Amino acid sequence: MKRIIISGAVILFSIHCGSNVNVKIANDRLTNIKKIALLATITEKPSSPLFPLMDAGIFNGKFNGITADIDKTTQDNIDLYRENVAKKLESELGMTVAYGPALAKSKEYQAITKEGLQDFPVSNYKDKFSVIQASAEKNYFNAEKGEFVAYFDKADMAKHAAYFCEKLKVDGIAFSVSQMAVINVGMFGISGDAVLRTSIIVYDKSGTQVLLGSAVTEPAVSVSGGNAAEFAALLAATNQARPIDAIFTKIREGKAAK
Amino acid sequence: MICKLFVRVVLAVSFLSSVWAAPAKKKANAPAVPSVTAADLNATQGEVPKPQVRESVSGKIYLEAFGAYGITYPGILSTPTGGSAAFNGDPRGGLLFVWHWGSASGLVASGYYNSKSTGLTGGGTLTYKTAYLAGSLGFRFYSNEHFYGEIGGYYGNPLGDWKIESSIGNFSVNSADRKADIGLYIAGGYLFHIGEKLRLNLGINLQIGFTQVQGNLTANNASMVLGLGYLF
Repeated sequence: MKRIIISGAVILFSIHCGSNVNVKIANDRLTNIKKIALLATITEKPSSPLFPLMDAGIFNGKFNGITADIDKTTQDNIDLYRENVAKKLESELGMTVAYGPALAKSKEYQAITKEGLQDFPVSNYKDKFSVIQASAEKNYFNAEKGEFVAYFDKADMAKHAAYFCEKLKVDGIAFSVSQMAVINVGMFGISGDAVLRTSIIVYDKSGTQVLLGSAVTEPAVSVSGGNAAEFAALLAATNQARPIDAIFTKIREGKAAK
Repeated sequence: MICKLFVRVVLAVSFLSSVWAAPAKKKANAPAVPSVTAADLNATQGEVPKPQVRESVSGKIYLEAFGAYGITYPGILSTPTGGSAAFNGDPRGGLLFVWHWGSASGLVASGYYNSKSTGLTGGGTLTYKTAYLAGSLGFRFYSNEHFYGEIGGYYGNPLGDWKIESSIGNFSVNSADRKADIGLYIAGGYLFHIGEKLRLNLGINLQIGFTQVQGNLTANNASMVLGLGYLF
């Protein structure tokens, strides 16, 4: 819960400041990656505000009623989210990207399964909403409560990076994590404002985090909370491409933090 | 001769040192990554999480026994004598019942005993005391499975006369002065889950009285609430 409050506050703060893109890179190491495996494309459970208590409660009552619709819309789009990220890594950074069904069918990836590496089905993180992963992928990362951005940012990834890079014969591994977030609710929970956040995280074979980029769609979309159709446009892959564009634009323009 | 020999020794030492230094430099640029196995990773990852699907509270009933203690509001009520008045820390206790009609909402009813007192200050201190048998009806909304907000109305039936304590003695006010305490309340709190069904409630309740229960005073009270409940 503390993480939810903190991440909500960060999103609110970044929007308030007019800056919705945060990118941190280790440029020399990023350019050394020629071949990369996009290991996981995941959407975390949607988040919604807890306060003001009454307003948030009324809004969430409506929002909880469309969980199945939100999950389905996300599921319908998530493979396209992966395509968006893979194409950007190829076109903007000149990397050869292994991902999706092609990666899953490769003998290198199959060997990982045969070795008995434990996977953590994202379906196990479900409560009201689901954590959803793109097709043909397995999740090898035990992110507490399904909070993958926090996990990929904080976890010691040295062993994972070394293992996957060696087994898949790549120079780095990448993850894409998206989350739809209702960032505030109006009086009596009549409406709220929602955004779609996407983060891209890249590690090189030494386990160094060489890219952490995060951006949200702007402007926020006004939603009533109980109408699934309102979220369809927000969760569309064409919409998810916007924060990804923003991340890579910042890298291209050399405005990323070191 | 000696110079040539010196130069050769220097060159030889320089060459050998460069040969020895080279691997070390290479090592510094590209840190060696020990080979990692699936077993190594499995050992660091912990257990596979169990599905966390929680049962919805929709249609369920929650029953709670609670106690509350008021927070004094010094000086926020004006008195006809120009002094100040404060409702003191008033104990309250009873039972609360919630019927959840949705996954995040419910109808709340409660019945409780409420002791109320107010201190009037102006050339001396008078403390008025009485008690009510009260009930409330309201709506509860959950912003998640822990946090809730509540709004509703309450009615308190006086149980006896106002008792007045002062420096010159204690006495009772005529029972004709007894008035029902009617008002609105808003509340909020946090439910700690103790197992699947048991809940510990820590909350705040603010009562906004409409009726002048004593003189021209309305009984506005804020109280901390502690409750223990069960979700059936």
